[in-house]
Amino acid sequence: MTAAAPPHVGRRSIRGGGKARLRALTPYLLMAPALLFIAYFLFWPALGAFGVAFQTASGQWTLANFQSLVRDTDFGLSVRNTFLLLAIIIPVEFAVALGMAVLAQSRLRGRGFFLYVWSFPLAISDLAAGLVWLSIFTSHGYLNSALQSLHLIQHPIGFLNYDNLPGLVLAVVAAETWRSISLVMVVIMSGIQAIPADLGEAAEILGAGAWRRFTKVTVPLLKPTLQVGLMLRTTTAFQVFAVVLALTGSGLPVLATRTETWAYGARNYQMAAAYAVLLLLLSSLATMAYLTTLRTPRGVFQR
Amino acid sequence: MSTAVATRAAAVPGRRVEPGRLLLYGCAVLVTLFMLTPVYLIALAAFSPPQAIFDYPHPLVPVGLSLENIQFFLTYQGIGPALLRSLAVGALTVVISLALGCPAGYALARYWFSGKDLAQLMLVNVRAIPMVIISIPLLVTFLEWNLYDTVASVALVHAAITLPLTILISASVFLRVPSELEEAAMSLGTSRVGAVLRVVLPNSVPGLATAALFAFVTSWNEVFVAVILTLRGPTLPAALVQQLAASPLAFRFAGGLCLTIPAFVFIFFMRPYLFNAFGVGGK
Amino acid sequence: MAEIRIERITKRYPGTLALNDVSLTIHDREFMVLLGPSGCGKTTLLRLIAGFEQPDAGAILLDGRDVTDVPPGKRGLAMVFQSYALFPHLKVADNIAFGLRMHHVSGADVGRRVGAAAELMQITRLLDRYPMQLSGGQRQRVAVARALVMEPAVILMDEPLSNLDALLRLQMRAELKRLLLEARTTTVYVTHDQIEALSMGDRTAVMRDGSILQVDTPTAVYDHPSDVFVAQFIGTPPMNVLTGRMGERQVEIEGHVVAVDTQDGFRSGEEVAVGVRAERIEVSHEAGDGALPAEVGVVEPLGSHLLLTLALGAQSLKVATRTDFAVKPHDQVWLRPEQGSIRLLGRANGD
Repeated sequence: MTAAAPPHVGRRSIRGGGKARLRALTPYLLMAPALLFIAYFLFWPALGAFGVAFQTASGQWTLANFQSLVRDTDFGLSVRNTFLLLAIIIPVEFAVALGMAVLAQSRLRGRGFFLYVWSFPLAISDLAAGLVWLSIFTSHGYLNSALQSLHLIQHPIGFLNYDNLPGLVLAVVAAETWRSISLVMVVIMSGIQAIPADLGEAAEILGAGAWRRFTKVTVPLLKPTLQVGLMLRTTTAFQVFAVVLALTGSGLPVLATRTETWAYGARNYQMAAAYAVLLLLLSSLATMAYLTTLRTPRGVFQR
Repeated sequence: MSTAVATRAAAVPGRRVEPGRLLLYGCAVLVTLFMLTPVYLIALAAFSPPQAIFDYPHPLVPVGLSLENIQFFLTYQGIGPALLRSLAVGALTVVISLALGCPAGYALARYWFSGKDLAQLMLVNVRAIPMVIISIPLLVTFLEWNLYDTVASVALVHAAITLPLTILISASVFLRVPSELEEAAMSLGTSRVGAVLRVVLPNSVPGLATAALFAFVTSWNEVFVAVILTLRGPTLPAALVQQLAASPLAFRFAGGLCLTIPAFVFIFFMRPYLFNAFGVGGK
Repeated sequence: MAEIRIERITKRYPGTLALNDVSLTIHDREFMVLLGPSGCGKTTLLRLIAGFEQPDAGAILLDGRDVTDVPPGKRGLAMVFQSYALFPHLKVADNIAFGLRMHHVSGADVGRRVGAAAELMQITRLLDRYPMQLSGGQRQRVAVARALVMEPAVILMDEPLSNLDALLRLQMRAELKRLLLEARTTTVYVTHDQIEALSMGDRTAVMRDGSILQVDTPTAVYDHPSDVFVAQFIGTPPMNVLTGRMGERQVEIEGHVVAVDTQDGFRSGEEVAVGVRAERIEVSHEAGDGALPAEVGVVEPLGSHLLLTLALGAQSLKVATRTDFAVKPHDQVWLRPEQGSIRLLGRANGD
């Protein structure tokens, strides 16, 4: 960012005026309210969650919450489902979004319209996405209706039956991808736009075709963008909540829905916090994994 | 404007790769169908006569237009107040977020100060904090403060969630107002505060309006915190979550449509700023 | 080895006509400079030769073969970009090797040719660095190495020196000229810097508003500009352009008669634009036969010579003279154009 002339704090303080000192403090005074607010309502409670998770209701330090967490009936299922969804949604989304970003960048007629339609889910809540896709996946929904009208099935398929894991997963993956692929596309597009056009031309004149320009130039240069996008998206995917709730009720328990059940249903804040801490731990691990595996060699983007 | 590397293939004028372009259009249309079909279907479901829910197979084209489902949803017990509460939470979120965010954004845009990088790093990384984890301790806090189950409590958290983006957007908006304009105003006799009020703000209205819109949409869509922090006074999404298990399908479809339609309006106005808000490319 | 023929190329962009029916032949092994102000179409022409743009009409021939529809990578060209366009994620060695690998040159050959190109450009010790770790001049060398290693039939250069500071630019100018002479490839070089154009090119095509005004050797473009624009675009200071009235083998300027060699198709009595270089006018304190009286306006000592701005009647012109010529503003001096230095550039007030 370009900034106005940097105030020379040292020189000013020699001259000593109180006004000068106030001027040096100005940026801090401007920043402080916002940063304190964020710290109080975001960072502090994030730390607080650890406190709640490692304490009994009466405030004694304990690991008991985590012991009951592991014994929770849906614990194993919710961990497995969370990872299952993650493992499908993230690769599918990034692959398709990469394609969409490239498409959106090519000079197609009607590009503005495409971009508009492809990005409107950015403003859709996960709850709305779940409800929208509910109309498609219920047993008497539009998917079964279409399949039946085409005589591909005899009886409606119970996609959302509690014992139909593939069906449940399919529904959640479809809805969650539909909702959040726009975000991934926009992130990738911003990365692609930051790549100078003449790099592509240089590769082209050196004999690289469209595909090799994509794999040898675009993708490597997108690595930092993909890294940030993956971290952002994986963190949010760990928290998948309302889509699951709207589509499956309690049929497909995930970590976030279990948190909500313990907090909202059972009023057991210790268990809820334990689930939340586990979530934070897992998404931190994922973030670190991305940071190490997708590292850019020193010197590529800075001296 | 810079163009992507890979797109040169697509950018090659017509006569060279006609079939390739056709393929591109095919893909684009396919993606568009994937995006729009669910919206069409939820609208179809929401505007069908109530008894049509039980028809099977459903016709995939409209057979009759009925507002009954929508009416049922909007007049359902608690939905009206929840809608008003959502608007109130959103408005309050915007006010707090802008009031705290604009000064911070101005500081980022106009000053160099030690710790600036750290502050920016913090703002970017706030996005990585799971909402799930903060909601439980906040619930405890608000219980202590007697703010549990109020519009204010939800708005405070939503403001905190939206603040980083508000700060970053407002900083980029202020950066676009040349500091020479401000200096010119000051050289003509106004103070810095006067220059900000008379010169910077009037030139920043559209950008700040977008920041406000982003804050409102985030609040409007936020489910988890709202569910945890409310009980008898939920926001619209929270009310829907509360009713999910017990409500008929028609109710849920109408609710889904009502939550979806505003997105088209929001994105229409947010389009020019999408890359600012969600992009990670530029610094 | 390649000859480039550009045949009646027209290129439109929404709202502008970038190239208007342009034809140009660049001979085998020739160093051709495309020179003109920004927006004149020189870069568009280069990009058309490269294949990044498609003409709306006309054709581009390489050695007689129509390549208008051939994609850039298959034309056998190499290009040095204004921004160098080095791949930031690849080390210098891999940047230079990129094109060879795209053309499936075998591994051993790649190593050998990269090594040779690096040695030629004196960047061998940089091969293991990333572009971001290099200075501007070093990046420039890598960009040239990446083009030369392809042993291209044609090398295209888009203002390759414009991002260097003045001293480095002077060095690279001479070095590039030597290298390209040794490589013996056909070169098309775009620049807006007339000194670069004069010093480097075998021939220079001066462009303006989508058209080529003149194609000639540097000396010819400098001495015999085809029109007022070329006369004033090339040279420091630009050629003096005065308005005069045509007579029979003479021009009358501000009431004084100057002899010219040719009539150049102008009729007696026509108002014409007359050009004369500042260094081809003798200036003295004594009146003499055929000398024109002028009043000194500004005196600028420039080290190697003295630049005078003079008023000749209502018109202004510049004259270069020896530094020991004693003169001060408002002095009256006498001007004598050298034999054969007067150019008739066209009708006055019409290009």
